[in-house]
Amino acid sequence: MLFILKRVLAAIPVIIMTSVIIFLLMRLLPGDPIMMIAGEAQSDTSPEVIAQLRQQYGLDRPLYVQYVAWVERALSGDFGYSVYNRQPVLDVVLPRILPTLQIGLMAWVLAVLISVPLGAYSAVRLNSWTDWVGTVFSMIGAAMPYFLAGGLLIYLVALRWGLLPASGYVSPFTDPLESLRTTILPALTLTFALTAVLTRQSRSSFAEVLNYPYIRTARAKGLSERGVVVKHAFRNAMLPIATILGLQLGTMFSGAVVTETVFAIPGMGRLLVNAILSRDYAVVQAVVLFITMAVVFANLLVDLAYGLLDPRTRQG
Amino acid sequence: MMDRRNLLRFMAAGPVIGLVASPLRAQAPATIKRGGTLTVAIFADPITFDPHLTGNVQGRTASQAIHDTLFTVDDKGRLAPRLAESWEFSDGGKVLTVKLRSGIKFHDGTVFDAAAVKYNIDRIRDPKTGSIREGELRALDRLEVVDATTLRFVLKYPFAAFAFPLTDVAGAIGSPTAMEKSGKDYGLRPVGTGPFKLVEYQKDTRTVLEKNPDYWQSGQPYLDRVILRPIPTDSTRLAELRSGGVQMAEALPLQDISRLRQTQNLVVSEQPGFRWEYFGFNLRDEHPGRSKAFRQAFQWGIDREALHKIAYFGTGSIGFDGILPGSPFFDADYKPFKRDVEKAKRLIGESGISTPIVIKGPLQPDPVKQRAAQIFQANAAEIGVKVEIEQVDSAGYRTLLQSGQMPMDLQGWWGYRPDPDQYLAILLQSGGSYAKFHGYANPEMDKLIGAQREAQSEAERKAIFRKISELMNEDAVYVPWHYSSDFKGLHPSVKGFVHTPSGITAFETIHLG
Repeated sequence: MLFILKRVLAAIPVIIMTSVIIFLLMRLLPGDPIMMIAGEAQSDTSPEVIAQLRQQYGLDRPLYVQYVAWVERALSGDFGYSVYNRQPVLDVVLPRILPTLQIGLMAWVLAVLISVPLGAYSAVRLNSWTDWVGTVFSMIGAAMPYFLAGGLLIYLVALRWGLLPASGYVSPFTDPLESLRTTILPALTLTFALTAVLTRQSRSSFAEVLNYPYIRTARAKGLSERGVVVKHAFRNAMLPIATILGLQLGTMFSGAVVTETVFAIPGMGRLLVNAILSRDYAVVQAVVLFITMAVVFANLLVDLAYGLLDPRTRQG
Repeated sequence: MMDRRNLLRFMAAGPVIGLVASPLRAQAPATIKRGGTLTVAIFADPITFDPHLTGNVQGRTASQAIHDTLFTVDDKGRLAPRLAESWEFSDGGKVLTVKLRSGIKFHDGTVFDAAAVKYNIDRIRDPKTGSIREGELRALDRLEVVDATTLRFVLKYPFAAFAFPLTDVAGAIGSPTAMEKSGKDYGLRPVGTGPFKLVEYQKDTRTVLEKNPDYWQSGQPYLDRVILRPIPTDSTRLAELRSGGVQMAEALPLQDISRLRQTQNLVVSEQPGFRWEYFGFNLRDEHPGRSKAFRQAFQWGIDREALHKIAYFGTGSIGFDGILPGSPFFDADYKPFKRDVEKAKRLIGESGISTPIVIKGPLQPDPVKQRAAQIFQANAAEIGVKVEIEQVDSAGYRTLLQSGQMPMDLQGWWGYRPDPDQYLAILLQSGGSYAKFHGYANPEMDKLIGAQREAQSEAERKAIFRKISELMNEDAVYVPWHYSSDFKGLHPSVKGFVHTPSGITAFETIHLG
């Protein structure tokens, strides 16, 4: 418990630093949200109206005043008002969490289910033709951009075969089956790259573990190769894979940006890009804060998973 | 005078101007099938349904399905009645008297009358509302309610085009009761007199509009529901249209148009006059654009044919001014320039700018503009000018433009407005924001802008607009090169669709078979 508490405390400076950096970075970019909404109208909006809008959203105040005000309100659960969306930030951001989480989790589970057995299989038969085929496929997966993978899936599965919808999203609480149907293709798109990385990692990890003396002992006891891999090698080989899984979360968010745009999913990634382009400061700050916390939390989970996988790393 | 009788006379007497007749025009009422749901793939989320706050085409479309506008534009590009029944200019074009239709109610039961219109116009003009449409009503001095169905717009100066912004969101009328009640959340709980009501809105997922059974235009709307689905990726929008996930899609990718026209079970609808393009120059002393000869060189030096074929894949048409096809003021025979590289080189020589001439142009990642900028760059190189393209995002571009420090505008474009005054005044009149961004002021031009506003007839205005085009091309602060088209893809079952150059779809005329 103490370990968890320590880790949570250690996350606080990370979150503060991230919030300061993103706050300043957004304001270093040229333009502001008022300019973006006024520009869209292509009409001569008077300087008085522009000034009135800047004042209304507090954008005319000094930066440090704006930052302190933001922190104060964020601590009480108020993340401000989205200028571009004309709604409170939380109303904009909260509905975005579920789609991104759902697709991300599906992609994660799929990637583990595919890559760990594939990597283990390759490791047992190093340099066999199956190993080569696996290697080539992971290379293709790693090299394929999300928009290409997504586009191909839409073309084949939705347009040619008519099996699944090409885009859109339905919440699992509204219609679980339709929700699954709308999330399969985006999850698969995210899975490609993740599977590629994980397969390579698990192949080398299993290959290393399978050379350890205790594995030789297990084999000498007369255990089947299957028993050796599943019972003895698995846990130790999973350690580096768990690390990669935690680290990949950040990559998954960047993948979500493209995937959600291609499949028209109302997730955090698509929201973040639009918010950056429209200089919707308050939304960017809230989304980045959320992503930071998610990454910190996921890595904490990975550390706890170590304990389960390897009793030696268990914390007091 | 822009009253209806005179308009009719001009419609009969004026030259026949080619709005391309849509093959999908409404059929005889007897054959119309009622009911059903139309799902439309749109490019971006509507964001708000408050007509006085909305900016993008999607928001303007959705808020006009919910709210009626005072006026509309007919298929000849002229002012036509909607919530307003008739209108008349008097006092030399300084007073516009509008007679409203009676017996119309808002969705919440509030009565539509002159006081409601005044409430809406006052709301746009109140700085506290923060309406980006406020500038469109700047000519208005005061608005008087004469009686329940009569309004008098008293203008600061004679202004023939005053009513045109009222054909779009600035003239969209919402229920004053609802506006009072919802405050700044009105954009999520809009109440108009329009053919549809908002029943569901999930940002970036779907907007559901449901039929208003008490709509005042008899028989309309025919559809029970309209669902708008924002799909930002071109290829996905197209895949949804082809797989039957949607029955209508906007903003078709230009490179696919000719191929899509061959496709079975899909109708490509084209409407010319969606927007026009120009290359703009900054006239301030520190930029090469200070020399008129330098700017004029590009009128002769750019290859409009190549721009049309490559940047626009041959869609739309080559353009030489800012008067869009479909406008009563458009003249298809106005072609003052032919490509003449020698003449362009001579003008560069006369410009007196020391060589080598280098000019910077910021550019956003818009594929059409990227292609156009590359052609412009090659054309400029031929006449001895080096163009340095700088990649920026939309906000970066606007910041540079508004600071008045942008050497040249590679991105220049203007979206459809029913009357050319709505943008030419901003671009060319010395008080206009774009004229200021480019450092342009010409008293002669100001006089012409004022003259077309005061003009009492369409023919008179047309003659003045020609003079404006000629002076704009002579001054060459903007070098015009293209009129683009709007493209929408439809499933063959979609009938009654009227394609307007604004790109805004009126769903009340649409029916499924």
